[in-house]
Amino acid sequence: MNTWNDHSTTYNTTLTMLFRIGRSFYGLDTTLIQEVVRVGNLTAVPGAPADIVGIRNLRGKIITVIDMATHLGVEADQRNPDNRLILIDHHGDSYGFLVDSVSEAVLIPEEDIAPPTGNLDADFAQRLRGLWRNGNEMVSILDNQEIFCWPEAHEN
Amino acid sequence: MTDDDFLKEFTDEALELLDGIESDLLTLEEQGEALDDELLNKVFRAAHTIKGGSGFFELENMTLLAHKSETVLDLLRTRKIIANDQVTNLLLAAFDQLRDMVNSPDSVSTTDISGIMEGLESVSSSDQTEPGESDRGSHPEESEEVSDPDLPDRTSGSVSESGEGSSDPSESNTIRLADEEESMVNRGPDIQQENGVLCTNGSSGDSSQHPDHLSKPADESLKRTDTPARSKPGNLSDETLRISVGMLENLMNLAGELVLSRNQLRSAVSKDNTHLLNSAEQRINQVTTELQDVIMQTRLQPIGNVFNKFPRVVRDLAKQMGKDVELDIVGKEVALDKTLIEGISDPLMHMVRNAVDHGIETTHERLKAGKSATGTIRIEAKHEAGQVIIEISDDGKGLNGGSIAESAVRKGLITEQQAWEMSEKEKLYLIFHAGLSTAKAVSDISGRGVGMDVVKTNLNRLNGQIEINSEPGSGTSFRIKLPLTLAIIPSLIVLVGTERFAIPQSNIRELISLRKDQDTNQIEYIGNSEVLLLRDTTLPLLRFRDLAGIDSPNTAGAHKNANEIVVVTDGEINFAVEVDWFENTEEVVVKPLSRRLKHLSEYSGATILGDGSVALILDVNGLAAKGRVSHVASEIEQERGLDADEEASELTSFLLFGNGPGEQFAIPLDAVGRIERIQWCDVEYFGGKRSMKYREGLLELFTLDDVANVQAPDREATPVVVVSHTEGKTIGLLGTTPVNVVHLEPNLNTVMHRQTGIRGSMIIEGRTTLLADINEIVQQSTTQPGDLIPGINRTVKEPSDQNGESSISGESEDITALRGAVLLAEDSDFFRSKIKQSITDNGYHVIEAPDGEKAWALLLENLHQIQLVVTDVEMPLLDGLQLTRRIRSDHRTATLPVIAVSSLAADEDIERGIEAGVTEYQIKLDREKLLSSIDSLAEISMA
Repeated sequence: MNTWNDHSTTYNTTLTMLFRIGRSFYGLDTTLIQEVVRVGNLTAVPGAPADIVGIRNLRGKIITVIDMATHLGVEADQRNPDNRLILIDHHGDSYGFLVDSVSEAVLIPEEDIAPPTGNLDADFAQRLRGLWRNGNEMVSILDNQEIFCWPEAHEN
Repeated sequence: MTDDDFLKEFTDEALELLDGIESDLLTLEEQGEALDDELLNKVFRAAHTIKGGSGFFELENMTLLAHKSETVLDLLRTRKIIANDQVTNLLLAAFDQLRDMVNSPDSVSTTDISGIMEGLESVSSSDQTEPGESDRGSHPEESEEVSDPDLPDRTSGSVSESGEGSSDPSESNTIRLADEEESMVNRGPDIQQENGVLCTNGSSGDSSQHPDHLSKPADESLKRTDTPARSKPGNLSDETLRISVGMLENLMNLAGELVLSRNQLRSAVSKDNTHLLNSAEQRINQVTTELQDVIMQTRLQPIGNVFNKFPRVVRDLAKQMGKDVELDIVGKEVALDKTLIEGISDPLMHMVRNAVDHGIETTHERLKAGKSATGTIRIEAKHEAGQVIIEISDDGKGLNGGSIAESAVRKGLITEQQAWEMSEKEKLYLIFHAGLSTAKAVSDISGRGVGMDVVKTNLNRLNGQIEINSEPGSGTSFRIKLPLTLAIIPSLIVLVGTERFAIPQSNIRELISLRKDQDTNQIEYIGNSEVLLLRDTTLPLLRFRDLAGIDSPNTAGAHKNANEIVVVTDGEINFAVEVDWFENTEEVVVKPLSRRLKHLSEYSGATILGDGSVALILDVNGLAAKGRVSHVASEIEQERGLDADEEASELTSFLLFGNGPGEQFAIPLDAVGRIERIQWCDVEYFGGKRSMKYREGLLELFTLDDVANVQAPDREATPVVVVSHTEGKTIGLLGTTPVNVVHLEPNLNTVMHRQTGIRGSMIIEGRTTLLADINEIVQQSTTQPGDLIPGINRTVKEPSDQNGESSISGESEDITALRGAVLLAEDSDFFRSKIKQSITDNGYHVIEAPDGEKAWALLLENLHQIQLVVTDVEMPLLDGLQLTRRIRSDHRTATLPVIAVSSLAADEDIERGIEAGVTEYQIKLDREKLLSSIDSLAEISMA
């Protein structure tokens, strides 16, 4: 497993936040992330796209909460107290990506990230920067840009 | 202070000085020889100060220009020249140029000022300037100030307090505050039109003041500026706000109060003392309210800031176009929020330009139309019911609905059919369609086809509404309604399911609580749409729960047996929205929704409520669009539209209505024009006839019991009038509520209940329903002795026959209509049937022809019946003009009135028409005009 110590031996590393949705692990570049918070009290937005769970107030800011599972097209657990929002600012708006749980942040050397394997769903594969093996688990590293591609954007 | 700070101070001051110069110069021009020295000195001082400052900063071009302007101003001061047109123009241009340079000091050295300089030079030299004249101001090379080589670097992006620099003693008790709302749109003082889009004068230096904006992606800087009409980040003057010292002290006091209250609150919490808590709460409440008021006041600015630009614009434009225009401005002092002032500025400017460009006619045209030579544009601002009203009116030629519609059709914005069905007023509102310009030729002032749509978009963003009133020939008036502020809006909080929503109070007309057990009859169906009957109006009813797809249960518990209804208005249409429960009213602070949710037009934003939870703010305009709310009348239109689609399944739509107690009648919906809800006292009796006032005239009313053996309408029930066109006229059938529309497969029993006026019976919704025959009723009631118009042989026609109008009836049948015959030559099936229908409805018999040759043949066959010819211009075989020439050259038809209708209506087309001998030349889509012409021409031809 990679740790901070690897930093000295690798030039190109990314500090990556690992989180879980359903049975799979995912990674997201921490430079995108403002903070990770509990889900809190959500207000539903009737008529909103399917992956929008609602909006919430965080210290006077309105956060649009997006269900990462729906966003990625994967299965999630039931809602539980471990659920977290990964807050990301995009073009001045604040988004909270709802995930089942957040585990840790690790430094991943660029060369350890393998390209997505061929048997992945094309839509899903497009959202990945690559795959990274964390011990026994495969971690899907999400692409920094693709994270902001909404389902409707793909349809259009 | 750094050099940048010094430069900033100078530019701030210069901009302030330049602010009122335009209007001052215009006043000086008006005063002519009777100059106001005080005013002139003010302008002079501005030039002088700029000269001094720019000399210090080595902004050479600026110094030269200021100096030259000063020289000319001095000539004015010594009465050597007078402020005539030319002088004023030059000075205006010079000060414009100075302002541009002040706004972007970086580019001063590259600015070309030679043109203006030459102009100013010629003015000053033509008046034998005395050698000592220029002593007043120092020449650039004489300026003794120390130069600073670092200066051309721009000022710091952030703006800080920079008060002491103000040189004018009278201004010393105001200070400038940095406007922290950086995201608010800044706009420059100069507006120009580029590619037809209103935008501010974004001189190259502007954006350099905003490193923040530059570094972000392009769409970021458009965050609040989705349309091109919103301006680029503006210049310095908009980042500072002047407030009086008194107000600042007031704010300081309130801040002090707030600190005290917080201390009180802390101690109350630590002691857990309820009494203390209560008093702290009260105090904080009071202080917050006051604080909010005062801060709001600092944001309020007089609309004069915007209006002041107009005299110059109007003057310049009017001169350029050779028009004589007077501008009348009222209500400069009306104050509204800074954001609104900024947002409204561009739309207003566009509309004022439009008024000069398109509205006011040239002096020649005005005199010809019998108007005074000088056109007047009036701009008025006033407060009305917590809103600001801005009216821009002109006494020009007015808007022509017909040509707007024509242009819209030509550009494919609407179909010909839609245009045909539109009222005159609806046609006017087409100008808000993107891509429509009524100007025949593109001018550089307005009319590039972008404009009014942008105005409308901008106003919508400001929660503003716009109305048009136009009288052809006598002028146009636009009325804009704006809220006082956008940041905080008083709202009603409603509950639907588990969610709370805020509805802005400015949209709310009234709140109604209907008890489900008692007031059920106030909610009815028209087709599939629910309507609320409220007093004498019928309002579309939206069930918000269903519309939004909320499935959480009604948590309002005990109140389930009532319908809680909010009657809202979007300015044009009132409609009712059902919610679960009214909670309370609250002043909410509007927060924008993220890009991901922006497309949901039913929400204008979100707000954080007292308990920290978030509520969505409903946008009534968006809600109306989502609920597809329209007038009840248009619902019926839609129903009729549906009918056609449903023909395959053989469903027919019937309007159900009541009559005598317990009776239910039906009438095919396609026979119904409108439904009017009236009062019994509206029904008038004259000479044995029932009538009511309807639109401009009288509507003859019939009841079923006039001819059929049924009861008279129940006087206890609310009367309704079913307005219908039959037998070439409009009549009303009097019935009662309840009114409903059903779609069903007609299973008519034509035996059991068949009698005069009743075609048969059906079982609808479990009740025996009699199907009324409106033609028969009208016919029977009017075929009474003495009522027949002699010589007119009335034949009964089944409605289905009338619907078969698309077949071309070439045969010369007996003339059965009331008012004689019209020959209609038109090759388009659509237009022929449309025009025929309206002429028939107006009481004429129509003989149709698909081309000119056929028309000529039919004309000769029916020589004695035909009173008038309506012909299309573009037709196969023989076109309308050739037909007209043939008619004119034959002695039998030479005097027959001919109306040419065409979608071509350029002046030369009309001329060609007149040459060919047409009596009138009309645009195809203007039904009312066509009908009135037919009436008047037919009368002449009869006589």
